Amino acid sequence: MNSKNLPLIPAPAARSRRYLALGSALILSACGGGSSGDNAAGTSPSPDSGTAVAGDQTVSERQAVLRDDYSPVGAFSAPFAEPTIIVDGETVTTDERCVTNNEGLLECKPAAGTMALLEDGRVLYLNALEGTENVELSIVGEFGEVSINDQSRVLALGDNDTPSWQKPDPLRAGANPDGNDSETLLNGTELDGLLDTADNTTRNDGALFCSDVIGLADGRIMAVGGTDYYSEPGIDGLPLGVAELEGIKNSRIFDERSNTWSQSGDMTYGRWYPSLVTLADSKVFVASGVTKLLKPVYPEDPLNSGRNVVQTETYDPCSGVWTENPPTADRSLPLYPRMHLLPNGHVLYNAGGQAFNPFGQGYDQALWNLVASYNPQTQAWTDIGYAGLPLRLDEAGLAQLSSTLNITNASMDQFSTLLGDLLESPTELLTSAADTGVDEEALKIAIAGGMRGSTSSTMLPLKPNENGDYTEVELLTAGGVPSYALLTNPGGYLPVAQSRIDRITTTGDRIDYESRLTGPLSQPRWYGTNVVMPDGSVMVFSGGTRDGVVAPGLEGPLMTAERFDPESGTWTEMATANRPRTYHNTALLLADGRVLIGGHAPINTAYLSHISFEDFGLAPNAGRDPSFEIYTPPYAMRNDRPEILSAPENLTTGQSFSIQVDDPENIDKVLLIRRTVMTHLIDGDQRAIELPIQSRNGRNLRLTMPDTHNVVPAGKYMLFVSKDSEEGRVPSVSAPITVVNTALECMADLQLADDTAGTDTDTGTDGSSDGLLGIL
Amino acid sequence: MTAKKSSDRLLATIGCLVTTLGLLSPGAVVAHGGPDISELPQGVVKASLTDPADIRGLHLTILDAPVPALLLRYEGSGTLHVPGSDGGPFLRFQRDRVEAHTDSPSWHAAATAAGKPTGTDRGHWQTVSGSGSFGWVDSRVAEAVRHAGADGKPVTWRIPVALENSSTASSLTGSVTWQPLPDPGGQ
Repeated sequence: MNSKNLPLIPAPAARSRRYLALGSALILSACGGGSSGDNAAGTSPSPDSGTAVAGDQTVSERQAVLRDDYSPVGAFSAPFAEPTIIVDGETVTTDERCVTNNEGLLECKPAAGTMALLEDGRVLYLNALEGTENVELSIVGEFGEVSINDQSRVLALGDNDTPSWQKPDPLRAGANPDGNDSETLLNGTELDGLLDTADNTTRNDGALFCSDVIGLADGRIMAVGGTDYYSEPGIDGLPLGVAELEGIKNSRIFDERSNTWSQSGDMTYGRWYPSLVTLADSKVFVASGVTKLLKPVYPEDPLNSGRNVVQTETYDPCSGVWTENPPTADRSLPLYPRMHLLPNGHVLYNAGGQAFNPFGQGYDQALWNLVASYNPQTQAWTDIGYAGLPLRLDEAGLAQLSSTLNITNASMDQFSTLLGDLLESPTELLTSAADTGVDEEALKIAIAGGMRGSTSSTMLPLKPNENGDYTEVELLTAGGVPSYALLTNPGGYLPVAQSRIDRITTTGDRIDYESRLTGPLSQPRWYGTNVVMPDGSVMVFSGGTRDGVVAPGLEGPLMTAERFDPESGTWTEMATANRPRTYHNTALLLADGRVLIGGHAPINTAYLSHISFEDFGLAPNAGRDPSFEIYTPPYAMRNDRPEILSAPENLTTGQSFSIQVDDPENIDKVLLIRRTVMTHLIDGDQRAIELPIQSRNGRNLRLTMPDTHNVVPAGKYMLFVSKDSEEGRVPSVSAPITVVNTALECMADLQLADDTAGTDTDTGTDGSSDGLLGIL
Repeated sequence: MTAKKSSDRLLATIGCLVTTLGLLSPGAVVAHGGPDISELPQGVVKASLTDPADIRGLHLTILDAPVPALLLRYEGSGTLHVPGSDGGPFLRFQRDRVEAHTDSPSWHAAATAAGKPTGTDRGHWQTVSGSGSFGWVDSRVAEAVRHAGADGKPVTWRIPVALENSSTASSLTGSVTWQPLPDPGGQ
C-alpha cells in the first residue's frame, strides 16, 4: 500500500486540525458555549457558559458586547476533514485526500456533495462522483467503469467543535445490490457481443450521486433517484466506450436513531437530478430528472425520448409507496427544477434549474422560462408568466439598470419616470428601450428574465399580514446563468451578478407574480449556495466565475461570501473562505446560527482526467475536497446573544404556545427555520417563518403557529429569537422544534405541547414553566 | 445494471444506435451532457413580434430558445380564440382559464412537444391552465424556424386571433431570423 500525494492540494489536514483547535476555542467563546448548538430534544439549548439565566445579568456585565475577535464580516474556521480512509480493509490515518490501494486505485475521502442537518445536530453527508479520481484518460470513456456507489457519512461537532465521524450502515445506502433494471439500448439485440452495453461491475448500480434529498415529517432523510453508471456502447473489462448515467427509481431512507439506511418504494421512472417538495399533507412530490442523461432514447417510449421525465409522482411517507400522478400533472422542466410550496398549497416552479444543453437539444426548452404552479388538489399545472416579468421598477432596480446599461443622464431622467411602474411585458420593455435610447438586447440582458440556471432560488422569511395570514412569498434569485438565448454571447457559460426578487401573492388558488431588481452581487457567481440566516439575511457561499459544467476546470473559485440585506436590497462582501469550492459545494445553517460549508466535487477537467489549473488562478480540479469549514457570522461573535430558556418540543398548526427567553423586552422577532436538507443548490423545503409575538408576560413570549401546513409543513425546525443592535440583528442559538401533522397517521402519536390557544399557562417571572412539555 | 432483454426491438434499437453514435463526438458527449465550449453552434434563431394583434388585454411574449415558444396572457373580457394551423379550434383564453380543443392537430403538436397530455376524449375543450396565461410551442413558429437560413433573411410567421362574437379578424405576426454568434474567443 502506497500513500500517494495528489499534487494539487496544499496539504491541509494536519494544519487544519491545529487551526481547528484554536478556531474552535474562539468560536466557543463567541457562542457562549461548547455545544454543537443542537441539543437533543427536551434539553436546554442554552450554551454552557455558566450563565444560568442571562436575564439576571446586570447592564455592566453586558457592556463587553463584542468579542475581542469580532469582525463585521465574520470569519471562517480552518478547514477540517475526516482523518482516515479504509484501504484494503485497513484504516489508514492520513492528511491526504486519497491513498492508493493494492490494485493501484485511489481510495479517497468522501466530500459533502449533499448535506442534511439532523435533529440531534449531526450532519449527514453524501459523496459525489466517487471513483472519478481513477479516470486515466477520459471521463467520457471511463465513467461507466470506474465510478463507484457514493459513500455516506455522519459528522458530529462535539465539545469545542471537535469533529467525529460515523459510517452509516450500509455505507453506500444499499440500493440495487443485484443490479439496476436499466433502460439500455443494446442488450438483447444482435449487437450483443464485443460491442455492447458494458457493465461488468455491481459497484455502481445505485449511486447516491444526483439523487435529491428531503427531510420527512418524522425527521428521517430520504434520498430519491441517483445514478446507475455503465458504458453504452462499451466493452466489458475495458475502460473504453461512452459513458451513460442513468437515473434510478430508488428511494432510500436514513434514520439517525440507528445510523442506518433502508430501502423504501421505487418510483415508476428512473430520475437523475429530480427535485422533491414536501406537500401540506406531508406527502412528497417529485418532478423532472432524466432517465438517461447522455442518450435519452427510449425505444419503448419514443414520445419521451430526448427529454427529461415529464411525469410527476407522489410519495406517501406512511406506506412508503410512490404513486404516479395523472397526465394533467405532467410538465417538462429543467433538471433539479427550483420548486417551492406556496401558502395556498400549490407547488411553484420558479423558472430555475440546471440545463446541460444550452443550445438546445430540448425541443420544449423555451417553456422552462415560464413560472408555473402545480395544484395538488386538481393535480394540474397553471402557467403564471415569464420569469422576471412583470417588473416593478423601484429605486434599487433603477440603480441596477443604470449601472448595467451605461445610461446617460438624459436617458436616466427618462428611465426615472418609470419609477414605480410595472413593466408588464417585453413589448413594454422594448418601448421603454426605444424611448430611453437603450439598446434592446442590452435591456433584456440587464433584466435577465426567463430561466436562470446554476443558482439558488431562496425563499425569504415568510411574514404574516395584519390578519396573521401568510399570503406572500418572496424568492431571491442572484447570479447564475440567465436564459441562454437572450444572450448574444455564447450562453450558459458566463454567469451574471444580477439579483432579483420575485413576489408571489396567493389568494385562494389565484397566484399573482411580479419581480423587482435588487442591488447586484459584487461579481458574477456561478453555483453559489444560499443560506437564510436567523437574522433574516441571506448569505451566498462558494461557487465559481464560470460554468464548471460546460467547461470544467476553467472556473475561477469564488471564496468570498456575500450577504444580502432584505431591508436595503443590497449585497455586501463578507469573509473569505479557505478552500475553493465550485461544483457540488454545499452549505447549511447550524442550530447555533453558524454555517457549515463543504463539498467541491468538480467534473474532471475538460472531461479528461483530473488536471489542475490552480496555478493560473482557476479552481483546483484535483478531485473532491473532503473538508469542511465553519463560518461564524458577526452576530455570533458577540457576548450578548439572546437566549431561549425553554420552548416546546412539538407543535402543530394554529397552536398558541409560550417560550421563555432571557431578554423579553428587547427580543422582537421569532423565526422558525426548517433544517436544511440540500444538494446541488436545492432544498425544496427551505423556508423560514416569522412568528408574530402575541403577548409578553415576564420572561414569556406568547407565539402562534401558522394555521396551515401549506406554510409550515411537518418536519424538523429550529426556533430562533432575535433583537436589534447597532451592528444589526442579533439572533439566539436555536431551540429544536418538531412540527407535527396530526392528520398524518404515522405521526399522530407525537405528543403536542399542551399550552394551546386559549389556555394561557404563562408563568410569572420566577422561571417556572407549567404547561410546557419543553425544555429546561 | 441488469438489462432488460427485448430482442423484438432490434430495428428500433439499431435506428437509435445510429442516432446515438452520431451524437457521440468527443466534444459533444460529456459527463453531464453539455457541449464543450469548442462545440458551440455558429448561430441561433431569434424570434420577434412585428405586429401584435390590437386586442385589449392581450399580451404576447416570445420565449427565446432554439425553438422559440409563445406565452399569451389575456386579461380582456370575453373569450379570445387562437385557431390552429388548420383553421379549426385550438386554444381559447379567458381571464382565469385557458382551454385547448382535443381534436386540434395544433394542440396535439404543441402538447406532444411539451410533454403535456393531449386528452383522451375527443371533441371537447380541456383546461390547460388555471390562469389567463399559457405558453406553447406553436407549429407555425417552429416551421418558420426550419426555414430560417444562414443568409439571415427573416422568415415570417402569422397566427390568427379572434374575439368570440366579434367579426373583427386580427393576427399575431412576427419573424424568425438566424443570427451568428460572436466568436467565443472574443469573450
